Amino acid sequence: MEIKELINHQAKWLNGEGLFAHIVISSRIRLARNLKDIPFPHRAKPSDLEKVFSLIEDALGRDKSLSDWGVLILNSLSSIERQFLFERHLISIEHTQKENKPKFVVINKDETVSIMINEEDHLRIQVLYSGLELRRTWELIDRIDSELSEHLNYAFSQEFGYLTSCPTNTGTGMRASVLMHLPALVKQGEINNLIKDISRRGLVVRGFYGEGTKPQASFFQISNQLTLGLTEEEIIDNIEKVSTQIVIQEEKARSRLLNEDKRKIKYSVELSYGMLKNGHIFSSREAMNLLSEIRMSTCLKLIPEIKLSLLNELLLLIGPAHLQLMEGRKLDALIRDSKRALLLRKKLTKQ
Amino acid sequence: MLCEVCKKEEANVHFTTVINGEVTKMNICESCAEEKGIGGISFSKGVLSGFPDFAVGELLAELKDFEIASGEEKLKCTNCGLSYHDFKRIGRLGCSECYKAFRADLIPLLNRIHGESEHRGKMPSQFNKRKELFSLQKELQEAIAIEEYERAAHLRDKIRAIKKNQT
Repeated sequence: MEIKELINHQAKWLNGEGLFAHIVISSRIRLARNLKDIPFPHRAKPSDLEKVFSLIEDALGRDKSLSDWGVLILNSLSSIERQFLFERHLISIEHTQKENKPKFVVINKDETVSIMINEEDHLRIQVLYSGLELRRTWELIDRIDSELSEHLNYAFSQEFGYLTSCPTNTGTGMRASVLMHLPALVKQGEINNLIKDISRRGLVVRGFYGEGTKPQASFFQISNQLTLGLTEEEIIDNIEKVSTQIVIQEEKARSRLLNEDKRKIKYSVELSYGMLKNGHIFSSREAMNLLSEIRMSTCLKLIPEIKLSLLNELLLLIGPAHLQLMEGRKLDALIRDSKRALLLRKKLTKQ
Repeated sequence: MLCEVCKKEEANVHFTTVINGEVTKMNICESCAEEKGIGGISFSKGVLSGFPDFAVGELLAELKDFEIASGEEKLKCTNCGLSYHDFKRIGRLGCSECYKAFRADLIPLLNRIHGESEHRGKMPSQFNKRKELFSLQKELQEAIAIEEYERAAHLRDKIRAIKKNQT
């Protein structure tokens, strides 16, 4: 597999379909798995980790639930290419670090499935879908994982469940999350209370790029904190319930925004839209903020319709590594900012 | 349950300390925990203020401070060679066998992180089959004991089929 194959097509999870897609960008589940007896990646010899890879590769070849996949070897990629995979939500920030150990990622053609090999655990299986679709996400990842377990000797104990490198993942090894777009709740100053409320229900709030990132531009990732003592269904139920309630709150906040002063909000979004279509320099933060505003406005029909799939995709395309790979060379920050503005101009005026 | 310090807020930080063999349990609220800097919870500023972010390192450091070394420092995993001391330092286990080697100390740790120490979720298919095999064998013995040979023969075939698939 080559990185180039990924740049020119859209990942399926950005297609703007699925339940509550106007507010829920995506649903994601990842499972942490290890092989029995072989030391976890941070303590294993490179030869052990090569063996882990070949065992997994072999098992994937026999896994009927997954087709059209390719492998990337992290050590043979440039730092921009590794960063690109991170921006695309295919690998974690930890997996982008240059290290002296064999690390891999398996990706399927539509980027619904990615499997990091030799990150913190031997396997980190991930499935992504557009909208609030945790059940579908679980069905697919459960099938892939069960098939793999037929051919791999997983580290598992009846007492503790799936055995992971870090005790915060022990048990189900599952992190389920939804990426939500909550601009009206942010504008109305209700987000801090909401976050407090979410954390009381055993959930964690993170940013657009997941673990290790802070929320920006009204994008919030909500995921479970606990992995032990609960069934996978219970974890999913909890997140689904909480996020459905948040969707309702965001919808209410949006209609309050409209009712309070429609003229003011219309003026402000038209300004943002005009800036995006005519700007010449945007940092990724500025672009993200403007796209966030536009995403809400088009859902509220304050501006002409822009497809959610385009807006979702732009959120990834404005990333520094995406811009540099599309350009085919390393760019300094100022040039990136102008390329970013050019990309937005083109994509938003064309449609 | 109300916070034992301010007696106003809901207590949602629960911790146990063992000092010189004396066990103390405390149930306090987040803001009192933050004030006292306990509970292995770090509070980030900004939008996330008041929101607990688990730091295992801190949890482990706390365990190290409060628990008396009762020979546990010498504990070592025979499979990967990780010592309990190093596990506490880095917050990561070395291999699947570490869970057996450090079981006694892991149970309270898992309880503190998850509020539970027993798995209730999915199992790999081999374990499901092992469970099934176990109950079939039990059934087979019962059938033989009450002389239901036809059922016994049927069960025996089922067991054979599962065993054959396993190898």
